[in-house]
Amino acid sequence: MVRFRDFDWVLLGFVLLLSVISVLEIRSATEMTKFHGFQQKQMLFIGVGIVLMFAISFIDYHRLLGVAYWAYGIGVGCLVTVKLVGQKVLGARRWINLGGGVHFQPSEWVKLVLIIVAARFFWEIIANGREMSWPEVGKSFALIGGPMVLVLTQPDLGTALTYSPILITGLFLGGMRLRQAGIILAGIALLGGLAVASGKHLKPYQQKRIDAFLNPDSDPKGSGYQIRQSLIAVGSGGLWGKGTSKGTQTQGDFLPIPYTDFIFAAFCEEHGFIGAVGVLLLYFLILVRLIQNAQTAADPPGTLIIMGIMAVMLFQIAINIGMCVGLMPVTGIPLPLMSYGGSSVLFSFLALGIVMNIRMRRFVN
Amino acid sequence: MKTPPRKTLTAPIRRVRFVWVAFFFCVWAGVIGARLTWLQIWRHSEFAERAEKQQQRTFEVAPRRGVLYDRNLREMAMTVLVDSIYAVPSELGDNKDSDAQLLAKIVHIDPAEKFTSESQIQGRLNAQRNFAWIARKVDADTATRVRELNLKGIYFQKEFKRFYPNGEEGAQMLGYVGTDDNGLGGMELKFDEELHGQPGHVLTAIDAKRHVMGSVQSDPEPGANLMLSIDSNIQYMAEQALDAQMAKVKAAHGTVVVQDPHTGQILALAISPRFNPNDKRHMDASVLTNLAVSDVYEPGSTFKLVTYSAAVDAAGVEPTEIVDCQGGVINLYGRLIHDDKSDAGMGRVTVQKALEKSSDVAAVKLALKLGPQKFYDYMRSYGFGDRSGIELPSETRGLLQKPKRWTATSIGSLAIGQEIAVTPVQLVTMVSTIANGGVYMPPHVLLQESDGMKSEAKLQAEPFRPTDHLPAQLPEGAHRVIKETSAAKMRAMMQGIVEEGTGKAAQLNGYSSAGKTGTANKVDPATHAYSHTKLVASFAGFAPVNNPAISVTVVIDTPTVGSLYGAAVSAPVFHDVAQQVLEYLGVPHDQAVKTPQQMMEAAKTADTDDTQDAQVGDLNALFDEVNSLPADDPLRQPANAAAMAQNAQAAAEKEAVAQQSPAPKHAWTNLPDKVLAAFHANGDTTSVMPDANTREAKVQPPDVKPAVQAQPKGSVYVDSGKRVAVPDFSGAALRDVVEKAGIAGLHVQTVGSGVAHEQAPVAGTMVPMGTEVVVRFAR
Repeated sequence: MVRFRDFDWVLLGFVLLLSVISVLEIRSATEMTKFHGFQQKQMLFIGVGIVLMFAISFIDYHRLLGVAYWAYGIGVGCLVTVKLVGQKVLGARRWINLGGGVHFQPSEWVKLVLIIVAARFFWEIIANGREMSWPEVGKSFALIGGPMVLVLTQPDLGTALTYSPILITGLFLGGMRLRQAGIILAGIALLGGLAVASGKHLKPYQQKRIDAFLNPDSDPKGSGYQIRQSLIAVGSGGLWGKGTSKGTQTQGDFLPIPYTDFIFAAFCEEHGFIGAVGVLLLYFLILVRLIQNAQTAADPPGTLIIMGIMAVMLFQIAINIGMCVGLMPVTGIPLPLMSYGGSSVLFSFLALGIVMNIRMRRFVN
Repeated sequence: MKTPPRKTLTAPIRRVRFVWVAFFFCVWAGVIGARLTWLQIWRHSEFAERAEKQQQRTFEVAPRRGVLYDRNLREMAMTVLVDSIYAVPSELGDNKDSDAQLLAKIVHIDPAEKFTSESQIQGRLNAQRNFAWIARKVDADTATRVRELNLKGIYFQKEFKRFYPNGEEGAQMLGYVGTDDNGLGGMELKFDEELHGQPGHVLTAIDAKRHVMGSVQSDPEPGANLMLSIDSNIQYMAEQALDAQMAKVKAAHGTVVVQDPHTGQILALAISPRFNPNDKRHMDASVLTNLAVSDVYEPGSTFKLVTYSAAVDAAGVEPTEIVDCQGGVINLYGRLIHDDKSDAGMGRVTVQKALEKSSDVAAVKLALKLGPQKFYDYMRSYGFGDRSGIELPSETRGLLQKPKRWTATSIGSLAIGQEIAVTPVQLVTMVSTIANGGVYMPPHVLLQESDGMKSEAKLQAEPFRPTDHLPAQLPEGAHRVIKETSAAKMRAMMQGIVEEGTGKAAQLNGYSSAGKTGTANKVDPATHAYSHTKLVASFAGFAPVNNPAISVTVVIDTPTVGSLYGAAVSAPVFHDVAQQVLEYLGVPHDQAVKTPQQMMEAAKTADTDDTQDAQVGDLNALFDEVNSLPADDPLRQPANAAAMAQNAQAAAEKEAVAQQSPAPKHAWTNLPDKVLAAFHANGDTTSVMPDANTREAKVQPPDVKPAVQAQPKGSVYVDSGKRVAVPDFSGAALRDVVEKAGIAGLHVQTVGSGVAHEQAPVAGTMVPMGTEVVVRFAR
């Protein structure tokens, strides 16, 4: 029986607490800008997200697994459509305009589809009860790599990268031998090395971002600007921060997009080290809770789905926060549950809905 | 149905791999945590500073510099608001070059000023900035003309500018300021911190697009206002008198310092040549030095005042004591010191006479009597060899060696003002010490200071009112140098110098005066020997004698035209300054006011119109003796009554012609009738004195009118043809007296024996040739 008693209220509590922080920080960060009022839209997204979360939790995840390949086909179709008819914003085709001011970004949804597809794919391997074969490794690479290449060529490196943890987690938990992992890593390193050596596979803006990451002060007004300003914001926040709406980096428009990608930097500036550690702790609790739910899942696909979700979130948090504190290059990956953005929020809550879904069905007879 | 054990549900997925995920997760969290600690705690201040640097702009708001007032609260240096012109080049459009040309025509007044040249304006306009100065701190006329151009993109901003309303007056003392209002000399430098004030700040928060988000302003604190002890009127008088003499004698430079002897306050500090502090760009670096405190010179004979006063004070030397001047040469450990004077060759004379004639030999002898240490202590006590602490920058100590570093003959040199270097301020302070009764009063030029903002205390005008006593509470640094009686003796001797000795040119009209001349040979830097052509002529004195209102020193360096001696070069400046200043101060006359004609007489020879009571007493005593002379003595000859009457009538007529209002008390009316009668008896008083002897006197107005018309208040001076001045016989031996009298065309009646002690009429009296002079001799 599916009962709300089995819903993970603790996890939901952590998530909602983080959402409140998100809304407040978005309000603070957009107060002085033309984006004023984004926190209300964010609240709306969260509201819709909660509804969707509950809605999806009622659909048995096994049914989701059953339609996974259909969904995968539709997802890939959407990505191709975006490539053909998508709205070009800032040099990239990522959105489909659905009219009425609503923009649809398929790459976020595809992420969720990929998690389920990967769970089904690796479950089948696990179910075979033997170790992963090289053809299966190749298949998994194709399964995830295909949409990844489509997104990468939008171009949207950041979102494309968020697909990789799905593959890695699947391979890792799906029984890949360590020897295989070693060979794959060596192969990727070799290819990466060749790519860097030829120097043709990165777009100029990407190359610049990497340069800026390696040496932020080389071009303070240019490509290093974002990292520099982010570091100043974080560093000047100090132990206790400057206070809500008092972050001069954030309010003075020095920090770029402080309500989306650099929201963590804005938060660090206004709430200091204490606030930042608090947020990190919340993420830690949320992720631990996810792992716990993965372990208590009724069957391997449940575990695989939750671990995929966990991996994607962890990856995004790691990359985004790493970027804000200057440990990672600028990639344009939003911070889950914090950054402003409908697609990001809805993905997060839908993913949580699926987690709830699995958790509620952990006591299978 | 029994629920299978939970762990079997995930059995196919190896648990160890969860641990790996958790491990990776923890490592990542640790790295982020460490990074946050590094950024937010360890390097916080650095980032906070960087944030501030890019988010805030600070503009300094200049404070108004304090005012320098004279003691009557007349501004000597003030700060005014003037227009500066700037352009916003983007608003000029394509007119930059033509505008630059147009503007340069108006603002480029001074060809030496590159900043306002057309090419530089053009350069600034094209510098791709949003702000460009056209010209800073322009005068009202220029600003108006630029305004009338009505150019687009040209704006005006008020800026502070230092302004010296009196132009060159007191330039070295006041100093001047640089472009950013920092003091660069004089009081402006010495009190720069006080005058400058605290700048205000406008702290502007800006965003990444340079939009102002808000600003916090702290108002500037204006600088303190200072009141100097200078009286700008006295300053003006001193400068005028000095400048006039400088023009005449064509000296390198000159200094006049006027001081209140009872407080040490400097009333005027005049230096010539000067510069105009309003015109920074045309300053001659060589005239910026404040010679009154920063330049030293060998004082020469003026320094004998120190030698004599120390001897009087410590060695019990009396003015009437006889000192042997040894004919004007003394051998001091093999070094011959000569009296380099026209009246050299004096023998045994009184100390007073020796000082009056500025005998070097006597000075050396007195110094030897004191001994090196005592003499040195007096010099130090007078303030020589040390900074006076006057509120002016770069004051020098002067040069004065300790006795142990003296050579054998140093004491002799010091006695006559050599081997020592002093500043004019040190010199005037020494003279003031004698004038005020023997107390060293440290010189000051700062009178009051008021903090414009912090306290409500406003400056109060403190017009100079001469006093006759020292302040009840002596200020810090004040101390007694010589006894009051010693000071009184010195004053009397110094009066003698002016009346009988080398300082006659320092005689005043209506006031007694005292002082000492000095002429020092400059050391020629080429030969390291004393130059005979490069002299420093000085005079240090005060007036009136018994209750000095002012002390004045005049130092004129390297006069080149006419007499180069202090008596001729500097004493007249003392006269001009003291005369004007005493009258300006309303100091009551202590002597009868003389007519211009009498002044001409005075200028020509010594003045006999000293009517000090003490001398009148002496005359009475003297004439008691005259009365006891034999009956056939000419002085006893009864006056011809008829002639007397006739003379009186003639005098009355002359007065009637002149249509005088009642004449002020004539100098002679102070004399006992008997004396007057004696003079009238011997003089032909029927004709007006011929103008033959007139020579240009400084006191005379340039357009010389007949005396009667020129001086309506004067009385008519009636005199006859050939008259001569009675020589000064004092201190002379009988043979000398007879000889001198013979040269002058006078007869001598001698009384007593020894050296000449008193005489009647007194020295300098104009008498008809052949008159008999009574001289009393004493030991």
